[in-house]
Amino acid sequence: MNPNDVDAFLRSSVTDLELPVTVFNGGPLLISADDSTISRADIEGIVQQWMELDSSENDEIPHEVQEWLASVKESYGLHRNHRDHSISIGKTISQIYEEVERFALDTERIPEVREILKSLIAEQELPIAIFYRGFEIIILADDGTRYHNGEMMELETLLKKEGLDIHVLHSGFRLTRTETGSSDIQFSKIQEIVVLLQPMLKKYGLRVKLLSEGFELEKDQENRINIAEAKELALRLTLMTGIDFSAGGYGMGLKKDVKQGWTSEINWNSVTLFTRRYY
Amino acid sequence: MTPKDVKELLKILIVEEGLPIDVVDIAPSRGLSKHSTTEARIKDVITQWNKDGKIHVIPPGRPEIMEFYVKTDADSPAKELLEASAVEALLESVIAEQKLAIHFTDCGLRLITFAEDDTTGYPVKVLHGGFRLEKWVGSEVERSELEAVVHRFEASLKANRLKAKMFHRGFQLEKSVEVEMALSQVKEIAEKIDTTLGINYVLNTYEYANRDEASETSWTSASICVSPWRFPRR
Repeated sequence: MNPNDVDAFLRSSVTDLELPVTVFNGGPLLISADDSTISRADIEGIVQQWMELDSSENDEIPHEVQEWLASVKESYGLHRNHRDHSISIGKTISQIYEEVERFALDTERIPEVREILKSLIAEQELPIAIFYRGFEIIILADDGTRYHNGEMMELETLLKKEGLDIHVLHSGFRLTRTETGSSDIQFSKIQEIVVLLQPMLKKYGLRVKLLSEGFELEKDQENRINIAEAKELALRLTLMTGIDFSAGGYGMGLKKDVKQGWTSEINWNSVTLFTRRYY
Repeated sequence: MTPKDVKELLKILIVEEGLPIDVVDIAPSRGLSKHSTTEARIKDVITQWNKDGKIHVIPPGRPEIMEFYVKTDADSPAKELLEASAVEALLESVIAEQKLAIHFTDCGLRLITFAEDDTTGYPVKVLHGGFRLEKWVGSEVERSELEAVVHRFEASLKANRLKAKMFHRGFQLEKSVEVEMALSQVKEIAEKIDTTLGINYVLNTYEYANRDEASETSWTSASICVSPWRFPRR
């Protein structure tokens, strides 16, 4: 069982259950416990080399479309052959595993936390709707178990060549609500996927952990509510539940709907209540 | 009783005692980080109260001794309201005595409540935003008058089987960039509050008009507040 198998299972489960989520494969997670001699720039240098390796043009996609995709990536400041990955510096694998386990315990409380958030919004009579932002599925491997795919091995080879003591794990999968305005994710359906995945992984010495990605708050742009109200909600939720939430990433929706004079602080239509990341 | 009801109770008692004070709601703050020290203290007390209630949340890496310091103080609902009034008077006198060209604003209070009979999983509630006590222009309030309100307030909470605690967010000192006053003098003011009133005040955050050209005297705002270590560590 490798990350590609899990990816395929998640995608087919989401289709079968007709969930309004998009599955994102987070790619490799490069872990350097040593933050004194290995810098982020050292690791990014390796990642750049790894991206250059991705010259495997997909024959099914016309060359012009591939070029267009590459130009879109570049316009976002990404490498032409951008490949998803994450970097963690200063934490050991066991520290990361511990954090994942701890955050996974918080996920069980998420429906309850949502009720608290609902009551806080009702108390202030704010015309705001709540949605689950999404969930992360992280696979933890028991000692001695290898959970790798081709692109992770490519990275390992490059790291070995450079003589850098960096471990490569898989960063997991994000099941994110399709888009602003779409229907809400049913938490029980996500749990259903995890329950199905668990026994499949167990025999390979792997464990599945479910993490919450927080909530999305939505309102009509016409309703003038200062973004500070959302920040206050995040703060009160943190104080009451002991789970860290912060408000950020607010959006104005489609450009064509934005009227002159509207500000993102007042006329926002969505804001995310993020939870902490494990790396 | 919700935290809102508790705040309304305080308002009513102030009116009944005839004090020239308005209770003004504070809109949610955009600069929440300015009050992070107070929020950390609130978090500690909520953690302790939740332990008495339904859930048991231990913030990772928090030493037990920290809990001890705050726990001792968690049961006096309006203590910080009285203390803030004393700090305000001391600040006024220090500024007048030393002829300092600065002014200050009261950052107000936050309130948390804990209903003993609450059957929900999260019995501790937090008031949205917070509130500030504003004296009417030109009026004076005697400490004994404020104490009378506080005594009635605390008795009423007890009768309703409700725990509450107000957390004062401290004061914001402001000056123009040209005024020659070192940041160390603000620290001295905080220390004076500690030595005179026995309240462990500290310099919290400070800002400059231009951070790139910051000097010891070019700060424009500095906030002082109760330390997370509630009692002086002497």
